[in-house]
Formats: sequence, C-alpha cells, structure tokens
Amino acid sequence: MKTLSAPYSRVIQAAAPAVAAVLFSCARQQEPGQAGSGPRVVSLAPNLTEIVCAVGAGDRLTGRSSACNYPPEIVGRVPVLADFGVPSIESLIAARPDVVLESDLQDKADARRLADAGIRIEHVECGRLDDIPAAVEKIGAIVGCSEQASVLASSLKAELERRRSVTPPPGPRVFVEIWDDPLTTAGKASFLSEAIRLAGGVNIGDESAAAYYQVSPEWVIMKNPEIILCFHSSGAAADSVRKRPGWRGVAAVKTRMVRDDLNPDVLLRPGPRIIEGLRLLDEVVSEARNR
Amino acid sequence: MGGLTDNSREAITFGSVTAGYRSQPVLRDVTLSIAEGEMVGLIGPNGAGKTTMLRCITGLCRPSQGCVSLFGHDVSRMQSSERARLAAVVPSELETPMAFTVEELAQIGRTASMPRWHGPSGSDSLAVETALRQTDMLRMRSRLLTELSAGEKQRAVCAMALAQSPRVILLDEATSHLDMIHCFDVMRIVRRLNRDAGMTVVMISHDLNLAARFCDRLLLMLDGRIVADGAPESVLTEHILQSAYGCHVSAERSELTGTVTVFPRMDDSSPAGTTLTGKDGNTSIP
Amino acid sequence: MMHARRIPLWPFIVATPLVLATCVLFGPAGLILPDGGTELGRSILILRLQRVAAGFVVGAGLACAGTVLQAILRNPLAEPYVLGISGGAGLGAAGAILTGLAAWNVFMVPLSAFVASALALFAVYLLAAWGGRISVYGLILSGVIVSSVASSLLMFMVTVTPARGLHSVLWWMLGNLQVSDPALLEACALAIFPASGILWLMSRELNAMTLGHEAAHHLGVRCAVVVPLGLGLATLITGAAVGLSGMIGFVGLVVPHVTRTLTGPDHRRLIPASMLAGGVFLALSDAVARTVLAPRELPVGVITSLIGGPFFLALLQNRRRRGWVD
Repeated sequence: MKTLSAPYSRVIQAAAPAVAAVLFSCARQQEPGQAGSGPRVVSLAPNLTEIVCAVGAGDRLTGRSSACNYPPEIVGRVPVLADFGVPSIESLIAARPDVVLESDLQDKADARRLADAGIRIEHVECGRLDDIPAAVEKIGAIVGCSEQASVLASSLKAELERRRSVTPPPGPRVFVEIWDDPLTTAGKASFLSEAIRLAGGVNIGDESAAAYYQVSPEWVIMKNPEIILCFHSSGAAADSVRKRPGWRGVAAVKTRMVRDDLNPDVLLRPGPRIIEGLRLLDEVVSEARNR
Repeated sequence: MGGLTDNSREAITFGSVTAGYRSQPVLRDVTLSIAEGEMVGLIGPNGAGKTTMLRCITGLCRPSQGCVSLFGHDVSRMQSSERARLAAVVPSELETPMAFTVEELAQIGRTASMPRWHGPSGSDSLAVETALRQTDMLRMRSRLLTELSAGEKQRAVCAMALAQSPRVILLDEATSHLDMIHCFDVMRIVRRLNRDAGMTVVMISHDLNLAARFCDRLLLMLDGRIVADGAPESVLTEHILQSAYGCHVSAERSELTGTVTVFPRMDDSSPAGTTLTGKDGNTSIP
Repeated sequence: MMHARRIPLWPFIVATPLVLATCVLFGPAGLILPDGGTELGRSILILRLQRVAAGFVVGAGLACAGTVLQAILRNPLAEPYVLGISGGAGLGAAGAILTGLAAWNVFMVPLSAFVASALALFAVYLLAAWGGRISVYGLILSGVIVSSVASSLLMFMVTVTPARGLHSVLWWMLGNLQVSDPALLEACALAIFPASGILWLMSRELNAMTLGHEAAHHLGVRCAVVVPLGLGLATLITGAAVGLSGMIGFVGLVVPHVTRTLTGPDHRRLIPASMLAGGVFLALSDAVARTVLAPRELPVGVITSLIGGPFFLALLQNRRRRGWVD
C-alpha cells in the first residue's frame, strides 16, 4: 500500500535536493569581500548550528556547543564554547561574539548572565516540527542571510503541510526506545512523536502526554509494537532487544523490525535535516506494512 | 549443667596479676584468693582498681603479667560461654534502646547456654523461672523495663545475671543508684543466694556501711594494690581508712546492726576542699 | 495493665504469600491477571512474577540488614545507609555503569556494588579504630563521613558524565526493580538469604549486643567476632540489594522499627518478621509505582517514602507500643 501518490512524490523529489543543496553550500557561500563580514555567531544547540549553516552563515560561526557535530566541517574549525545547554560564560565573553543563539538552556538564568555581560543573546524556539521554519527565518534575519533562509523555510513548511494534508490509513505501531536502562520512550509532547505521526506510524508512547518518560517492559510487550526504534546504541541493540526475557513474542521482534541504525542526530534533532529523517521513517513504515 | 570440672576449691584466684589499660597498669602485682561461698566486698577510693579487678575476673581485661583463674581455670584461656556460665555481672545501670520485657531480659541471661538452632530449651526456661522467682519478679514478667521503677529494674537485671546460672556473681556498684529500701531489697536477695545456694559474691561498693553489713570479708584497695584484707571490723578501722581515703573517719560498731558503721569526719561549715579538722585538732588536706 | 503484647510469627508467614499474589495483579493495564494462554500474556506474567520476586528479595534483605545494624549499633536510627555501605554500593554500581563495565556483563553492577560497599565498611572500620578502641559512636561517626564522601564522589561523577550514562545512573539512584536478567535476581537472592539465615542464627548474640559491648561480653558473647561478622553480613546483603535494584531508602530504617513494635525486640522473631514485612512492603510499593501513573513508571524509592512515611508515622504515634526507648 503506498502512502504517497505520484504528484506529491515529485514535490518531495524537488524539495529534497533544494534542501540538500542549501545545506551543503555552506562552504561555498563566501562572497568576495564579505569573507568574515557579518555578525560573529555562537550557537549553543546542535539544531541551531545546523540551521546557521543551512542558511549559508557557516563561515560566521565562531563558537559551538560540544554536541554540535553537523555539518562535519565545523567540527575541526569552530571552537567549543559550551556543553549542550550549559554555556561557559567566560569562554563566551572571551570569544567576543556578536550574537549567541540558544534554544534550550539548562539554567535559564544563564541567558540573563550573558546579557549582563554585554552579550546579545537570542532565544530561538525550536522544539517542535512547526517551530523549524520559523526558527530558520529568525536565524536568517539575525545572521544576515534572509534570502536563503526564506527559501529553506518555505520548502520545509511546504513539505510539512503536504504531509499533514495526506491522511494515511492507520499505520503500524511504533515503540521508540530512547534509552534502555531505564526503558525510556517518547510521549505525545515530544518532537519524535510528531515525526512518526507524519510518517504514518502510531507511537505507542502517545498514551502519555509527557515528552520523555520511563516505562516498564511489561507495558511494551502488552502494546505489541510492530516497529521498535532504538536510539541508544548502534549495532547490538536489535540483538539485545530480542534476548530480553519475554520480548520474543513481540511483533516487531518476530518480523525483525527492530531498527537501531537510524541516525539519532537526524531524527531527534529539530533541525533542517528533518526532511531526511521523515523519509527514513517513511521507509521503515512502509517496510513494516509490507511484512 | 555440664562444663568445666573444678581444679580448685578457690572460686577466684589472682596470681601476681599486673593489669591495666594500654601502657598504664592499674593493678600492681595483686595476689588473692576467694573461696567458693564467700561474700566479699571490694572497697577503696576512686581509681584504686576495683573495676579493673572485676574486668580481669570476667576476661574483659587481660593481665599483662600473672594469671586470673575461676575455679582453677585460667580465665584468659576459657571459652566466653564457659566463663559466662561461671560468673555473672550485675552492673549499676543497664541501658538499652530496645524495649524488652522483664522476662525477655532474663532470657538474655541464657545467651551462653541456649541452643542456637531451636528456641530456649526446658532447662533454659527453668533457669529463667528460677531467676525471676529469686528476684521476686515473677508477677512483673510481662512488664516493659521502661515502665519499672529503678529498684524493680535493678532486680530485673539481677534476674538476668542469675539466669546465667552462675557460681560467682559480681556486683559492680549494683545498688548505687537505688534508694535505701530498694538497695536493701537487692542486697537481701544477694545474701539469700549466698547463704542458701552457696553462691560466691564479690561486690564493689562505695557504700562502706553496706559492705560492712552484708559482706563477710572486705578487700580494701589503694593504687592498684590490696592494702587490707579481712573481716569488716579489722579493715574498717580509722587508721586504715584514713591512709586509704585521705580523710579522718569515725568507725563505730553499731548497736542496732552489730556491724561497723563509718562516716567521714568533715567540718560541715567549711567550703569543700579546704581544712579538715581531725579529732586531735590537727588539720590535713585531702 | 501495662503488659507488652507480642505478635507471633505466623500472621506474617500467612499474610506474605497472599499479599505477594495480589501484587502480581498490578500492572500498567490495571488490576488484572495477564492471560497465560497467549505467548505475550505468558511473557507479561513472567515479568511480573520476576518483579514481585525482586521486590520481595530486596525488601527482605534491606529490612534484615537494618534490623541487625540497629542491634549492633544500639541505635534505632541505624540503617544500611548509615555506615556508608549504601553510599559505597552506589558508587561502585555507578562506576560500573559509567565505565561501561555494566554493558559488558550485567553481573558487574551488583559485583561492583558489593565490592565497593565492603571497601566502604573497611574504611569506616579503619577510621573508627584510628582513635583507639572501636566504639559504636565512632563507627556511626565514621560511617557518616564515608557516606558523605561517597555521595560527593557520586555527585561528581554525575556532573562530569556524558548525558548518555546519566539517565541510567540517576534512575538507578532512585531505585528500580525492573529485572534485566533473571540470573542476576538469582545471584542476589543467593547472597541475601543465606546471609540473613546466618544472622538469624546469631539472634541471641544480637539480643545481648543491644545491652552494650560490656554487658554482652559478660553474658558470654564474643564481641570481637560478632560485630565484624554482623556488620560484614549486613554489608553483603546491602551490597547485593543495592546492586540489584539501586538505592531504595526508607525500607531498612522503618520496617524494623514497625516490626519491633509488633513482635518485640527478640531477634529470633524480629529478624524473620522484618524480612517478611520488608519484602511485602517493597513489593506493594513497586506494584503502586508501576500502576498509579501508567504507562509511566515512578521510581519505587519515591513510593516507599511518600506512602510509607505517613503510614508508619501514624502507626508509631502510640508511644507505649514502640519497640525502643526514647
């Protein structure tokens, strides 16, 4: 059973390269005479870093968090000035940025501390799927790449709207295993839950409105998911899930739909690569339907 | 009850014992023997070594020199359970955070004798009953210790010691916290045990009159040595007591009790620690 | 009049299987017995049984350790955490989780927990003996020191660890009865029950120990053997319990208290009664923890404190029925 009809798949095929082209054009965005010009930007969250590069301001990135690892070229070039959500105030001050972008500070008071130190700090709300196009536009305006930002934001919005307009038939049950000890899953308030819904799956974790919470193995077995997505370890997860006492009878284990090879950086990060993530989920869902 | 056979008629023997804590000897070359059935009082000023002596008898303190024996057997070579079946101690105060009943406390006295795998045996229950009867605590057996008066509680502690079915009972200032009446209650029980059951008794007491009244023999200690040993009349003399306690005393035979009574001769009106006037008008400083 | 009532052991023995069976009915789906006919139903039933068993084993172990510690230390506030035993166990288990040893072999966690708790006890003993003779006061004081050092180290590890290990450690610090490997449960039960049995055989010595070292000595107890043996076995039990299920507080402190008010302080009855009461209490708390906010799982340590606390407080209001003296 196909979830996409022909004209819409064309749109996807058109949109995806556009996104990819914008993403990978970071390095080539240096306009002559503008090398190094524009505001010096520090990003404290990996999704914001990806957006900065996606709108073409990668060269203006002068600081990142330890969790920012995409695009790969920034890892060597851009210094780490913060842990994810925990900025080092001194290093930030020393780097003399023009603007600091933050999305999810562990200690909200850090924003005030940075402001008191005379640093311009901008909060970019980017936790839900719908936040992403707006975040792209906002960042584009801040770093001075509004044009590219608009293009990217529109294509993202279009894709999301397209998916929402299509009502796929009830999809396979998905269990998202964020962590195995304790067994942690994503609830209705999480970003991943939305993504799964848009890909045509049903997240069993939606039973609770929380974002991330602990569950018991018994509950998972009772729900009998058809797909299990493990985000905590690669390679061995599928095997270890199968070996758990009592999990052998679960549908996902029986049909070998336990996947641990999905890149969490793509699927758990509300950023420009979510389109790629949604496509991955599409593949998994359709594979499950065909089993 | 099985156990060691006696090697000696003597209940307690000290053979040239030097003992103390760490490097500080408290007892110096003490030699004595107490026969079975004697009721002995151990008296002397603070720090004389009375408690150390008791600890040597129960094995809590090991002599650095010499040997302490119970019925001819070296205490330091004895098994703890063997020793507990021979000698029991009644302390001046027993503190426990747990709310035992009188009967439960008495049963603890059987620790050294009770079988490990099953509960108390017939002989254990009998020993507990006997001990409770001897201390007149039978009707209070289910009462909590915390609800007893000091006198009753001390009788319960005696019951615990007696439940060990010992042959020697050691009283460590056992009546010092009790009022007159309860003190005599306990002492009467002890004396009855001594006279009727032939139990050897060693009692440490600060109350010289009490010791004189109930003991057949007194051991006066000073600076870790025994300086006087004999019947109360011969030990409790003014001369001996003055050199031991460092103050003038008056020692008289009481018409009423027939025993020696002692009281210090101190000038009531003078502040403590200053002049004492003796009978002969000489002063001496304690 | 003021006669003390002592409840015998048999009500505990009768009530235990009944309550445990009831616990098996609790689950994320509500109070139902899973259908043993289907494969999934069987799996769920087995998981529940394992969980109830784990709750019983850990609860019984912690209660036994608490009872024995309260006797040896002559302190009604003693519990497995007071001598730094749990702090050490926590450190060991967290270390195993964060260094990846746990991923290599699931037995590494309880093993590290036990080794670390034994080391902690050793440190406590050394510290207490440093000033001369070992007194109970010295032991408790050293225990507090070692405990706080262990906690600080644990906090340090928590702050420097990458986010991935953090979840496991934090969850484990709150207590968790999900059994990842039945062999682990067996191993811990094999450590806990024989050790508890030995401690029960030492009941008469433990009774005497509550009177103080000197009095116990006069009664024929070899304190130099009983104290290390008792503490060592209590440590073994705590290490195994903490290694299996993380740090679950409250059970080792309050269950012995309450049981003592019911059965009296004689350890021949107190130890088995405490174990049964502790096992049942923890199994019940876990049943609530996994049902009340289903499908969310609450940490069981939260439930033991929240529900147990007020309940036990009410029970202890009656002053005369207390098992200990103020």
